[in-house]
Amino acid sequence: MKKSTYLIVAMMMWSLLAQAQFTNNFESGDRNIDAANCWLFFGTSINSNDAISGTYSTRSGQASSLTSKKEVISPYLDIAAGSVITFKHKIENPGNLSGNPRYLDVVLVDANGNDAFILLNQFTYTNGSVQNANITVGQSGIYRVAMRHYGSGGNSRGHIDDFSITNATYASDPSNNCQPLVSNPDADGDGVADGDDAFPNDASRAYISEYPANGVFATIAFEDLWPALGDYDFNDLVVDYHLNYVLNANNEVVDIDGDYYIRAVGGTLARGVGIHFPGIAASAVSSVSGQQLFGNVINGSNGTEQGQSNAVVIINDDVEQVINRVGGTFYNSIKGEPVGQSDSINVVVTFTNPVAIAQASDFSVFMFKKAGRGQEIHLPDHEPTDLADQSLFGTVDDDTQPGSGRYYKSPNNLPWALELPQRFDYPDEKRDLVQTYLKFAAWAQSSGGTFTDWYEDKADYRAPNNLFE
Amino acid sequence: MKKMLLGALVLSLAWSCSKDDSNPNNQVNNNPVNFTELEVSPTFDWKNTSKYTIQVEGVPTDMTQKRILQVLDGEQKVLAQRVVRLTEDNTIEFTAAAGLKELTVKCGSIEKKVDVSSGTASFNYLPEDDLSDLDPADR
Repeated sequence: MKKSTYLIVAMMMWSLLAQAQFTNNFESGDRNIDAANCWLFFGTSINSNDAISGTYSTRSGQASSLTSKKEVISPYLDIAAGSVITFKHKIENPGNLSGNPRYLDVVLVDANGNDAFILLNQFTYTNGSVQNANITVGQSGIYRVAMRHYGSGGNSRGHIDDFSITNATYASDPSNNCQPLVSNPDADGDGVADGDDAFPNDASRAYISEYPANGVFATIAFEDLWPALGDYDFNDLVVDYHLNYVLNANNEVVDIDGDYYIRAVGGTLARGVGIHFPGIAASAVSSVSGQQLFGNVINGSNGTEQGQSNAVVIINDDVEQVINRVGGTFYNSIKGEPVGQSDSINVVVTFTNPVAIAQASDFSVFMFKKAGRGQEIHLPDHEPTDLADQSLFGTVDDDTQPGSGRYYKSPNNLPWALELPQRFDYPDEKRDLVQTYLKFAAWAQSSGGTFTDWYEDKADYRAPNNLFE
Repeated sequence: MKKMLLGALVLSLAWSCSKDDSNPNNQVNNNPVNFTELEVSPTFDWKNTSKYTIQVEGVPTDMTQKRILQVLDGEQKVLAQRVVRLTEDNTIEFTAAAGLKELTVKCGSIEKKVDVSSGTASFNYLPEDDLSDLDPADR
């Protein structure tokens, strides 16, 4: 690029900066809307009574005190020396201004909230006509512009309208108590300042949103006899999990970083655990890492399970390999037997292109049985994966009806799995959930209308002796 | 007279013992002793979570930088986060424990409690304004 071109570009930039102008005609009609933009009002509202121009002006209360001034204060502005402040102002119902004088001050307020420079000192009104303020600012820096009406006696009010300042740019931060806007670095240029950016040097990632909540694990608890009904202690397979959704600056999901922990195996039928995303094509996944696989499933090259149209990620295909038995009959389901610690599993799913949160949030953690990969058990009314053995639907106690979206329910509408949005204290072996969680039946029979917190540790909610822990 | 009184008594007993079929609660075993005795609606989804939607109304501010907006529950646990601009309207959807009646929405120093009704809440960035600085007649 030629030097002359640089010069022209620089002149244009300077010209743009020089023309920067901040204005407010108060036509919002609501001081609270302007306050959201960091205007301050003390004893002053915005209304249509005797407006100077347009429909609205600021209108002070009765400016009858020399000390309790009625103020309109601009947001912090980055003001260049030589800026010109203009606005219209007047006194409503001036009355006897010699006996009940009215004044106006204009002051620059610094970043500490202190008066820094007086730009107009005790302008004295002599009548009620509209005045045009025109003030050249000699200072540069970050300031608010405060306009203050005050006086003595009487009941007249001050109005201000059509505020404008040249060579000034907005410099307040409404999300930081309207303090001066800090120039935040943004190393990766994704629009999210480094201070807010969990990945400040990665433009494709900005922050993490967690499920079910920050630092909280959810639990999914299974009955493993499907399609036959079980004993409903919901400890045949108990999996805790926590998902970190890694999102970009456009609120799209880039990765799902999940922690999984098999807490109990109170049965002999469970083989593995997977997560199914029915709204995301298998091909939309670029990679999966961290799976604990031992040859019982076949994955495609991207880490999703082969033969699936939608993304299915097998977290672990042999629970025996990740639990650590320390004796006893089952694993962590019989009170009094030794308690084992399982291996934590961290699985990261990365998408080829970022996906919408709604798609990534539509998932179900499921189990499959040793009897065959096709013997899946899902939460009620969650559709199975493509590899589910559909010949089992409608057999024994199952009343799945795919045509009507009914899955994994008995004819009496009973489920084989429950998900809790927190760590679930599951029942001891052979302890029926209904007899363990005393509000559960009321919750279920009211279709979730009552006792939505049935699983919490509250007075009279539990039979503690029936819990494993 | 005795026959009339006896008849009235029989009718009274018959009335008091009849089943009130108009009340569906009477058709449910309210005290099931085990899971298989539960009587639940065919449409019950057994979910302990709900989908929540917060309609965020932007404000006409000159501050255009992006900020992180957080949604918290009553225990101040962060349920969801999103990148927002204060000038823009947003619809924030997330899944959390069912039955939440109140949430806290926070964006930097802007923090408000919002009521949840049918899984939906509204939020804006406007400051709370109690108008206490105004003359009573001007509020």
